[in-house]
Amino acid sequence: MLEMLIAGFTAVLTFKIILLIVLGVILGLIFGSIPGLTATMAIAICLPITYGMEPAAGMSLLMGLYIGGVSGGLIPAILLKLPGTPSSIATTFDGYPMAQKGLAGKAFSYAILASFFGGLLSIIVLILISPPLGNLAVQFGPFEYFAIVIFSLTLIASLSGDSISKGIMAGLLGIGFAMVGSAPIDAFPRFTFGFSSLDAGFNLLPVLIGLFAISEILLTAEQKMKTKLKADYSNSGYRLTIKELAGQGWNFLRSSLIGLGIGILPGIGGGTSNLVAYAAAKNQSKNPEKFGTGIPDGVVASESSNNAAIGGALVPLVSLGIPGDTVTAMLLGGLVLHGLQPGPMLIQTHGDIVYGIFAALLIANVFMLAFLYLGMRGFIKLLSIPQHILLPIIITLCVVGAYGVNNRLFDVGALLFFGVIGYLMMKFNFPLTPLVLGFILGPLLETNLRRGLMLSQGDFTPFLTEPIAAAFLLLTFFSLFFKFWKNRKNRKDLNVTDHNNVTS
Amino acid sequence: MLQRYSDIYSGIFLLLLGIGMYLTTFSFKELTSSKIGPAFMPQIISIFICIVSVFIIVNGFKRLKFLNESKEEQVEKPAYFPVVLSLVLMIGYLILMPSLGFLMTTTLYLFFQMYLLANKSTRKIPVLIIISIVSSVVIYYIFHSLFYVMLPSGILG
Repeated sequence: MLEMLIAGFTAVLTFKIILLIVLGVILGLIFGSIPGLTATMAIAICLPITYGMEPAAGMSLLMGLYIGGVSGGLIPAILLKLPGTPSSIATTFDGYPMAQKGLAGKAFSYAILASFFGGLLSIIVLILISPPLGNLAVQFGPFEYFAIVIFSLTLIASLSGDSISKGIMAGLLGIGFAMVGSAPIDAFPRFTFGFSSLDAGFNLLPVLIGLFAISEILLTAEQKMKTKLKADYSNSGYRLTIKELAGQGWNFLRSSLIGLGIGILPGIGGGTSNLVAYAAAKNQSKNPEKFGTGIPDGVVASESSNNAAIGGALVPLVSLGIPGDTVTAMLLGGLVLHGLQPGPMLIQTHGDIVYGIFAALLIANVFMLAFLYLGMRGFIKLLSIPQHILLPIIITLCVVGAYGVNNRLFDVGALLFFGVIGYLMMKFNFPLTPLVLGFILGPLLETNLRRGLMLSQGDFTPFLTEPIAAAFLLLTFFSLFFKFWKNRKNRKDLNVTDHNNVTS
Repeated sequence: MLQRYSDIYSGIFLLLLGIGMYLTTFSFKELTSSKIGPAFMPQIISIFICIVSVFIIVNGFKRLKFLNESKEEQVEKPAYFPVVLSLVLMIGYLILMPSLGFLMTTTLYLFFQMYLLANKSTRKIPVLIIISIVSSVVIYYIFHSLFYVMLPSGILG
C-alpha cells in the first residue's frame, strides 16, 4: 500500500497538478466563504473545465475544491454569524461570540487548526480502510450491487429533509429522469417523445449545475439583494499557546471521529456532522452553560468534524462507487465524465488514479491550512462583493460549462429546465440531493437488476437468498422503518409543543 | 395561500406525472427475449411515484387541518416577478446566442440580470455596464483560448 501511495504522490507531484490543486483550494475557499455559494456549486462549475484534462489532473482539482469549499465556510461563520456552507452552522454558535469579544484571530486559529487536523485524520483513515473494503466488494455480483444501491438510495432519501415521502419522491424522480434516453442493455429509446436530442438522455453536468446553481439564483432573485454584508474585524492576534491547544485534544479527537463516522454513512455528511459533534461536545463538557457564549470548544468541535466528514464521505465513493452526499455525488459525476467506472473495481483497475486522489487530498489539506492563514485578509474582503454582480457571472459560467459538454445549445436548455425543476422543488420543500443520487444510481440499479435476472434466468429469489444482498435489503427495511417510527414520534412532540405555543 | 396547499398541489401533480409515465411505457417494445424488458423499471418507478404522491397528498391534508386549527397566517410573501423575469432573461439569452454570438448576448444578459437583482441604492448603471463587458470578454477569452470551448461567435465572428 505504501508503494502505491508513493506512486500516487509521484503522479500528482508535477508542476501542473500542484498548480491545479492550489487553484482548486483557492476557488473552493472563495466559494465556501461567500454565503450562498457552496462547495457543490464550485465543483459543478469546474467539472466542465476538467473535461479536457487527464483524469488524475481533473480529480486533483476537484479534491482541492472539495477541501477548500468545506473549509472556507468558517470565515463568514465567525465574522458575520452566517454559515458560508451548511457544514459550518455550528461554528457560528461560538465563533461569532468569540469575534464579538475581539477574539476573532484566536477563533480563526482554532477553527483552521481543527479543520486541518480533522481533515488529515479522516484522509488517513480513508487511505487505510477503502482499499480493503474495495477488495471485499470486488466479489459482489449484480444481486449484491442491486441491494447496496437500494440501501444507499433509501437511506439518502430518508435522511435528507424532514419528510420521508418527499425524500423518496425526489429519489424516484431522479431515477425517472435518468431513464430518458436509451435503455441499458437493449438501448431502446425511452421517454424521448420523438426528440432525437434526447436519445442519449440528459447529460449529468447540466442536471447537476441546473439543480444546484441556477435554482439557487432564481431563489435569490425572489428576495432582492440584501444590503451589503459588513464584517467587523478587530484582531487580537492568532497566537495560541501549547496549553490552549492541548486542552482541546480530546474534544478534537471525539469530534473528528463523529465527523468521520457520519461522513461514511451515506446521506448525512458535513451538514449534519458539525451539529452532532457540537451537541456531543456540549453534553460531555464540564461547563455546558458556557457553550454559545464564545468558547473555543464549540469552534473546535464544529470545524474538526466537518472536515473529518470529507474523508468519511469519500470512503463509500472510492470503495463502492456510492456517493455519501451531494458533493461526493458531484465527484462521482467527475469520475464518470473521465470514463472511470466507479465501483469496487475502481481501485483494482485504476489504482494509480485512486492513490493520486489520496495524495491530492493530503496536499490540498496542507494548502488549505497555508492559504487560510496567509490569505485571511483577502477572503474577508471577498465577503463584501455584492451578490447582484456575482450571481449573474456565475450563471454565465454555468451556461458556458453546459455548452462545453457537447458544444450544443440543447444542453444549455437542459440546464435551464433543471434549474426551474430545482427551484420548484425547493419552493415545495423537496430535498434536491436524493434526485441527484437517483439520477446517478438509477441506471446502475436497472442494469444490475436486469443483469441479475439474466443470470438467474428471470428468477427473483437470488436477490433475497444471496446472503450479502439479503442483509442489505433487510438493513434498508429496518432503516426506513426506524425513520418512519422516529418521524411519527417527532411529529407528535411537535404538535404538542406547537399547540402549547398557540394557547399560551 | 400557496404555502398552505403546496403539498396537495405538488402531490396531485406528481400523481398525474406517475400515471402519465406508466401509460407511456405501453409503447415500449421488447427487443430482447429476457423476462423483463425496457418497460419494466419505468413501470415500477411510476407505480412507486403514484404511491408516494398519495402519501404526500394525505400528509398535505393532515397539515392543512392542523394549520387551520392553529389559525396562523403566513405573512411572508416572496416576489415572483423578478424570478419570472430572470427566467425570461435566461431563455432569451439562450435563444439569441446562436445569432448574436456569445460576447454580445452575454454582455446584454449580465447587464440586465445585474440590474434586476440590484437594489435601487446599489444600481449604478455605468459600473454595471463596465462589469458586464469586462466579465464577458474575460470569460470568452478563457474558455475559447484556454479550454477550447467553441462558443457561438454569431455576427461578430
